[in-house]
Amino acid sequence: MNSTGGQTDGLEVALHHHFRSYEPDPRFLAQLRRTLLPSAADVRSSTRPPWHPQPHLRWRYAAAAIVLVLLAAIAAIGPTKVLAQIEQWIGYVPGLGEINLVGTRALVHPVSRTEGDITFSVVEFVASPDQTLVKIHVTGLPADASLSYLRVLVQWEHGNGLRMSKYQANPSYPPCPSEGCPAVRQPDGYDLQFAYEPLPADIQQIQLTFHPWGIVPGTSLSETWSLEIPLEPVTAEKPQSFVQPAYSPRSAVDTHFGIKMTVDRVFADTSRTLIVTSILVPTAPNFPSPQGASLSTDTGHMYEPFLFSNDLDLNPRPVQTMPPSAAGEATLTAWPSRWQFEAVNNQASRLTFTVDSIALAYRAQSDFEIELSKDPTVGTVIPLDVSLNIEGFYVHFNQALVVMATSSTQWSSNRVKALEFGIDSPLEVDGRKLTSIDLSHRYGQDYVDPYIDQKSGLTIGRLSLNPAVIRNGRMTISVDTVVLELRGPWVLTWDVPREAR
Amino acid sequence: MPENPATDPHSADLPEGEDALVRSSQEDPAAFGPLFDFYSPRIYYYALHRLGNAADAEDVTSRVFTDALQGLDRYRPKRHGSFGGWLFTIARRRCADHFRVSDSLPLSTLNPKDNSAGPLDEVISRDEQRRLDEILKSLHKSDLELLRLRFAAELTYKQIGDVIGKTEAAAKMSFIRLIQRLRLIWEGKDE
Repeated sequence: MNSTGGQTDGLEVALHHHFRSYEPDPRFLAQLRRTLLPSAADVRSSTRPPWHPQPHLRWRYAAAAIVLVLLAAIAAIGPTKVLAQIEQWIGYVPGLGEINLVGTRALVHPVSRTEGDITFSVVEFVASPDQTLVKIHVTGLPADASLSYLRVLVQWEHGNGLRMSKYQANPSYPPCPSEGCPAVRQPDGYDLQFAYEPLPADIQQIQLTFHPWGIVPGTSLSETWSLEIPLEPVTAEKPQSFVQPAYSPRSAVDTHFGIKMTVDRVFADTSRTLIVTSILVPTAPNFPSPQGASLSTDTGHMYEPFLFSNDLDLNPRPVQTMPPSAAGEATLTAWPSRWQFEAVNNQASRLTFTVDSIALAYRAQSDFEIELSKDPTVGTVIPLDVSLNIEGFYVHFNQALVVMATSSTQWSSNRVKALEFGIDSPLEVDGRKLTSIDLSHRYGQDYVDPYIDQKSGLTIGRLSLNPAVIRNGRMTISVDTVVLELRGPWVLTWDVPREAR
Repeated sequence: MPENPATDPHSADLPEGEDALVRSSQEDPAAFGPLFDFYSPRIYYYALHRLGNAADAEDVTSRVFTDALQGLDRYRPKRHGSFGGWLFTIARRRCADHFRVSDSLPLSTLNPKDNSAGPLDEVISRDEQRRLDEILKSLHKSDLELLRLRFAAELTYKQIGDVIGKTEAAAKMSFIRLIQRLRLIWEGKDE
């Protein structure tokens, strides 16, 4: 028997075995517990400055300070110049994301070292104030080479005023870029990516050292291969080939149903166009899901995105709450999204980003009761008169029908009696379309495959009729989530700055 | 969608009064012990399957709990969701920081600890293990992540929802659909 009470199947056993086979070393956990817990009070007190007892308020001071600096700058040199300067401070490096260009140094041309059949090429080296990113391309390795053992050290010399000292850094490893972790195996070899702590600000020359033992047959444990890496400052006026300065098309805004969409930043080069957008919604407990996006140009070309990301785990731009800009306006929540397209036609001077519709999931948190016998027969119809109002969208359940449906416990599935719900209210009103309703009942359930209307595409949850969930001839149904698709289209148009073409 | 504890094998193991333990730990970190004991193996299993080797999994486990203790003051259930979900959000970030060669390496390259005498080994053949490896390799990253959160981390659907930014019902629906699809492949009906 499995943990859900059903029959154990081979898949369950295999998955449990796969994911729980390699137990942690109890000595490690014990040591970690001993190390962390007695010092926890110290760890926490060290993060709490004595001048302020409420650390969760610190960001407000930081934000206030930034606002004051910006206001002072705007007063001094004018808002247009300030915004233009902000745009120049930000660049985009594929694989690293948005970076601060101020204080960033980079490798100008790739450098390589060949040993026998094997060539290590450092194709990118970006030392920003936040971190140091290195991309390496390796060719000629044996097919069974295990690159997980590859260690690459960054070394540099740094003067302390009296003498030069040697320093070295192990990789701290990069976060996956927001567009997804890159595939490492390439047709001619491997692409590798490492990240390190930031280098000192005045370092313009470093040495990259590879330890080939364990990867390259015949090498010794002490063998190292080194490459000299000269670095040059990166600026918006003189970006390196892989650092793309951004521009911010402030004119690109469109609003429907109180939902505002903006194009915040555009990065473009010869290989791709990356657009960072925000969807600002008055109420949304979950991701707004944009549907049917495209990018078109004034040269008649049209592109569909090949990558879309709003995974906050990978996105350095957090969801923000935007206070109302004027009295009577709603507080908006801004959800960032990134879109990647192939490089647009270089003759284009005007771009249009279009989203056909946006789906929003609303938590309904509404209950209703139905009456039924302990073991109703298949085909029984229970008339209902239950209305819901989801942000002004009217939904009316007119019946529940007893059907046979597939029930899935965690590990097995079988046919069970279930309740299927009917709706007789319009599914689409004024550009808003009902697409999904999640239902549950109070006493738990085996999950039953939902009903999907092939014609309208509407998905409605079905509930299993386990006798245990019928109490005193009644069953309490909870409406959990209702998804509405709001039809736009949202059309955002902007001019491509001359220097970005 | 409320999850029935009786049908969720994972919630049955949760430490009693987790919310109270978290609140106590915010006052006195020494009270964090039971939470550490409950979640540390789960974080380890999760990290192991993200990163593919024990050394990195131990490193991430250490960093996650260091981060958690440093940030415990700022944890607010209403804003961050369940404590387990919050902890695994940190774990995901820490694992992402560790990314280097590939999202995960085959665990067959590891030396298993001394747990090979468990009953599961008696019923899992090497062929089945290899077959499962092949199936898992073919999955999308988001599907693998669901499996890791459920089997390695043993999170509830509510906690999984908190981690991946979905409602409990949506997380449950995604998981059940994935299992149904896997079962078809496993049983050879959808090769």
